[in-house]
Amino acid sequence: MAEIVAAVATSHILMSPAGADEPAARVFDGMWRLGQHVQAARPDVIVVVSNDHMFNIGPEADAPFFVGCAASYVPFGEMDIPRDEYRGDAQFGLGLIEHCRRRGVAMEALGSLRPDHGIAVPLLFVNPDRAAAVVPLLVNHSRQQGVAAMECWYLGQLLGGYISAVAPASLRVALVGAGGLSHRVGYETMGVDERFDRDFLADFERGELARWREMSVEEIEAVAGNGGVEIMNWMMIAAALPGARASIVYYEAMPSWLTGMGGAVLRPHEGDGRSRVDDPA
Amino acid sequence: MSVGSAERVNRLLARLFQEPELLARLRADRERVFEEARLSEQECAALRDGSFRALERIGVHPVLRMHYQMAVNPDLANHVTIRDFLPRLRAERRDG
Repeated sequence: MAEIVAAVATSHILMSPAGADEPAARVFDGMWRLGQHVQAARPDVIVVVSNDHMFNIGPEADAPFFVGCAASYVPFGEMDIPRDEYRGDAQFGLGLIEHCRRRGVAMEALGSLRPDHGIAVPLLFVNPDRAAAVVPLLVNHSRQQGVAAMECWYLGQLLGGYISAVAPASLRVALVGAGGLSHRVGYETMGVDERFDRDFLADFERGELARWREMSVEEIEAVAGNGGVEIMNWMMIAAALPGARASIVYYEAMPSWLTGMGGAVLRPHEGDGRSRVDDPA
Repeated sequence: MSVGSAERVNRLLARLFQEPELLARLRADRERVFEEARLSEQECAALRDGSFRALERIGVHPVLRMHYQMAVNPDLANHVTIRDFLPRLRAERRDG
């Protein structure tokens, strides 16, 4: 069976450090430490669980989840992100879709994708030499009804099961949950809710996510903003790794970036000893 | 992140960064672009205003409000960039 050799969660944006040089440097340091953790695990494939910000998936798209099934990816390049090519793993992506569809999850394949910052910024840290293949798994938080946290949790479980039971043996897989923390996109009152962020991080570290996966999209948005729903991207990798132990690596409220910035490592082999993920279906 | 009812405006704004030529034309002559997209006067007024509140009133998706601001507000585009971190990323990669 394939193995999850590393898993990290992180915010997926960087902005100008002007006026916030020290906290911005701490964010960078934290992201780089996460990146080193993944690089040291020498993954063959990196699955990045994130969301597209309407650079690829438009307002008319209704599927809750999309999986990249391309042979390669060149970032969209907004925010001055370098357009360096990454290898894809179409076979992994197609297999994951088949596995999840058989268990009732609606997913669409993306035969081409220009990953935006949601995927491309984390890759700059976890895959800087572009040695590992990339599989984007996108949650369609932008669709009208959003995507329920419980659906994300279930898909995270299926992802873990697919890696354990279906993906090619000896494949070394890293997981990256990318997004969050609190932020409001497109509103006059854009801001960070540090209390929300710290509550979530504390529960993420303790592995106590039951109340978070039971929250509705509206409940999360009311406190953490419409960008706050991206914490579901974190929860998906936690669901893929039951029993893993999380450690928070960095947190900065970053008001000038209008985003609570955080990152964590999940260690598959340091929890209750269960690194294998049972298929929930 | 809910989608508003102004489908025509949303479709136009979703194309801005996918079609560099459209973005350039918007910056050079936005009235022409609005006219080609057959936007209503109310929609045109909201886009001229450009504020999140005005865009919200005509049903622009929150993410596309951000796209529009990035397109027409150079200060915002200069802030929402990873440019300042690229030298350090290159150095870290070089040093392993």
